[in-house]
Amino acid sequence: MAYLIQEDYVKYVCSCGQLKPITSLYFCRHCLKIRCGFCICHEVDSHYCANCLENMPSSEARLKKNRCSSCFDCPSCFHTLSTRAMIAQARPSAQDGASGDTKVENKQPKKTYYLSCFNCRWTSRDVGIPDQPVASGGWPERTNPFANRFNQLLDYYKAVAQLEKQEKLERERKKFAIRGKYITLTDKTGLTGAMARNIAGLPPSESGSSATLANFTPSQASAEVEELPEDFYTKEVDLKQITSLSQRLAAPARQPARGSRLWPLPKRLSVKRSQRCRACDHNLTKPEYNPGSIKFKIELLAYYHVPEVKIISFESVKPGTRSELLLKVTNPTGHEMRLRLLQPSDVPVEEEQPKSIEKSLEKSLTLEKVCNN
Amino acid sequence: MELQDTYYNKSEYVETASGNKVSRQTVLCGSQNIVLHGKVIVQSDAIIRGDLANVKTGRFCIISKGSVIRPPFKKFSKGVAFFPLQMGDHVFVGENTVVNAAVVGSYVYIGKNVVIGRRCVLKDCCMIEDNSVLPAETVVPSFARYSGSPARLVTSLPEAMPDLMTEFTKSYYQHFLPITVN
Amino acid sequence: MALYEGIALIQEKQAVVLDLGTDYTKFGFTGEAAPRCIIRSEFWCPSERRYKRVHDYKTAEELYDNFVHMLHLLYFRHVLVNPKERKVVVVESLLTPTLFRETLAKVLFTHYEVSGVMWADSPRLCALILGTPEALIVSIGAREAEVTAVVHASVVLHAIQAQPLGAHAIHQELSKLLDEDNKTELKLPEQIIEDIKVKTCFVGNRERAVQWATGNPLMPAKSVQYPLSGRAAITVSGRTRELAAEPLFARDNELASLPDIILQCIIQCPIDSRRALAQNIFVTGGTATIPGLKARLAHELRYLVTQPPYCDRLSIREFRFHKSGAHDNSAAWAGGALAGAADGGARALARDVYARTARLRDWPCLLDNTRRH
Repeated sequence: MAYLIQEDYVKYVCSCGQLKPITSLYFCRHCLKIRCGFCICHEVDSHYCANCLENMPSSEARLKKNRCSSCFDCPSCFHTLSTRAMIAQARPSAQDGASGDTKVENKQPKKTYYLSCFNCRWTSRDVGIPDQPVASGGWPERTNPFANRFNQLLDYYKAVAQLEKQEKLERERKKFAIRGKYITLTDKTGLTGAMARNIAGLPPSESGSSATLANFTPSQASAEVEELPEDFYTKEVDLKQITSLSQRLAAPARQPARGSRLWPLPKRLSVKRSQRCRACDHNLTKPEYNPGSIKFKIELLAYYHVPEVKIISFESVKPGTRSELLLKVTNPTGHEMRLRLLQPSDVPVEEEQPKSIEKSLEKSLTLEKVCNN
Repeated sequence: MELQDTYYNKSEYVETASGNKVSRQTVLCGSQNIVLHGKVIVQSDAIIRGDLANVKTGRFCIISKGSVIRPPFKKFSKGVAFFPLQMGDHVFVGENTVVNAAVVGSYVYIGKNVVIGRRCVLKDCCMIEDNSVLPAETVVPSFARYSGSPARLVTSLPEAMPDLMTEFTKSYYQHFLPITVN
Repeated sequence: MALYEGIALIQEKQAVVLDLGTDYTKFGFTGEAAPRCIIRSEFWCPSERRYKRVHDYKTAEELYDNFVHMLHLLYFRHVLVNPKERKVVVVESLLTPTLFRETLAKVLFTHYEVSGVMWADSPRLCALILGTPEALIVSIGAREAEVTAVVHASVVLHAIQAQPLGAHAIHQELSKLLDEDNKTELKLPEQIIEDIKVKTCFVGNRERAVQWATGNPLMPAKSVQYPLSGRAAITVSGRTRELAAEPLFARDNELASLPDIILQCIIQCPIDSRRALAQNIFVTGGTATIPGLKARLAHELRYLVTQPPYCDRLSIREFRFHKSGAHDNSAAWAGGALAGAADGGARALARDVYARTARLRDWPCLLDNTRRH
């Protein structure tokens, strides 16, 4: 990316040994080392929706499963859906509620909203989602058909794990506690925890788990397997009505197989990342909180600290002859900088640096912001 | 590689006091509605439709050959309305690209043969690769690199993107040199 | 108990579940019924300017890089949490190459600094979803079909069967059949082949398959015109639609078809568990979603078991099948989400332990599979 549209000709050795263009390198001011995306620690800073550019606190984002509540993606082509407004009267087949009291409606035309995709022309009406009276939110959600069963299983295994833990504790207690000097209250009075709870009028603590253990039914196998419907052999296939794999997988919880069951996908949130040096734990970059901002609170890029080398012109290398390579070295800082060009023998093997073609010369350059050549 | 010099025919271009270089072979409709904020290059056969609504660009914008800058419209029940088009500083628009966006932020790179649909919003620091099509009303977030048709997020851009774009557009302007042909 | 759980939730960050498949990666949180994302196991490689598959690697270093990129994509684009100090449940096949496992462990522990990794094998996780003591897990994935018997939460290791009868085998057959249909070499990209498979292909019943094999004229299903961008539409004949998945059932002298390996797995299991296993068959994996595949498998099993060599060695005549509590392609993932949530990551390999020993437990290793005194 150092050249924006061309390939990265000049690469820099990161302190971790990787070769990277200067734009993907960072410079830790505290360790005075070059770092790259590979050897730093990335952290989620803030969640925001890339469409409406609204920040969402991380607790809320977790609650909403990292989805924006007002923006949706097209389930068919994954482009962002736009909300379209429609005057309710203009549509004869309006909802029942709207047609019920037509007299009121006539005076105050009510706006209803539906979602539409500008890329593939999918609309929320295609799948029979009723229009909404408010512009944002309120769209019905679909649930996972397996969620109930999953929660049953989860309760069951949690109870099993709990039981296991208790048994283990019990064993430990039997092993050590009896020989102990101190007698606990429950040992002395013969009062067990369960009895104590009973006396206090509390529901028995284990009842929940034992009930789930008892009530659990394992999955029942059946001899019948869902046969292929006979009409598969005779029916025409309408490719437009069958969803593609990416359409199915975009909604992992439901995985609709038919186009008529596609449902708007709440837009996935994006994150702003801050980056941290692994060695000293200082931040290398920290973006501003505002999602629309491109500024950084901390921005220790190599681009601002490390001299940038650019190739101005070069000759193709021929054996036996001397070739010319013109480099431009920019000092991005306002300070004096010493620059040393190494001999090929000084360079650890395998990297053929463009510099090595030059004669060995050690010189100290006082570089202002070099403009040209 | 450093950018190579590009030469233009001195008689073909008009250079304004603020440093704008505008080719004579462009179509600038409604030029009273077009504001170029200085050091902007508009190359030959570009079309800017100022007659539809205001078009404003920032400094150091490059509008390449054959590209079209056209304010977007929106259909209402009572008719059609056009919206002004705003472009930030250091924006590059590639050849034969059509821009119908509502807002193009600063430090934006738009490649060749790209179509930016109606009322798209391109935030600061984003990049649309060559031959992409951005459907109408897309919002391209900052530091995003979009590609394809319909364009999708491919990867993110480095944090130094503003400086890269500044350097790119400035050196483009510096290397855009006149030759006098008699 | 509820109180304790609440505290545990605050202290312990919700773990993530990773199922890195050959074609598709499932990723999400423990305790949720569906993964947050199911995406192709590939990432944008900026240096090569193309999407690169995680499983395309030649050296361990390359694999390491692939994992770093893929996990970065998963954590920061899809799940949006910090990988640091968070546990991971890795869902893996029992036949995962050691290099793959160990590199993944290295990436997770040293690069992403996760606090613990729970390694869980997919057959046992699938058995968790069912909740039955015995289960015969038939997992048909991208590359291989694996048949594993799980008896009382242990895998019958010597009975594991695996054959390259997965999605890739179907894709190969499909592209061959498509070439025959259109009488040219189409050279379609893998993604389009996959789309054709998803949208048009099905598995016919046994009688039809026999008729196809004997060459008797049969009323084939309707053919489909599949549009391609930038080219003329191609014909997908009814024969192609029906026979694309046939390699899974093709028998040869090696007896290595899908029903064969199921029966062989049962035969190699302890005699007292065979009946239970045959009555608890669970067909899962992404490829199992092809319409009619499960029904056909049931037919084949019931037929084959009456034929030599199985009729003498197996007295089982009844097969029962489970309908899963999760989508076919994410059943193992859902098991991982259950297992991770139930015991709160107690079984995870902690980072400090890994740092000390730098080795993973693995079943083929004698250190781990022999009883220690």
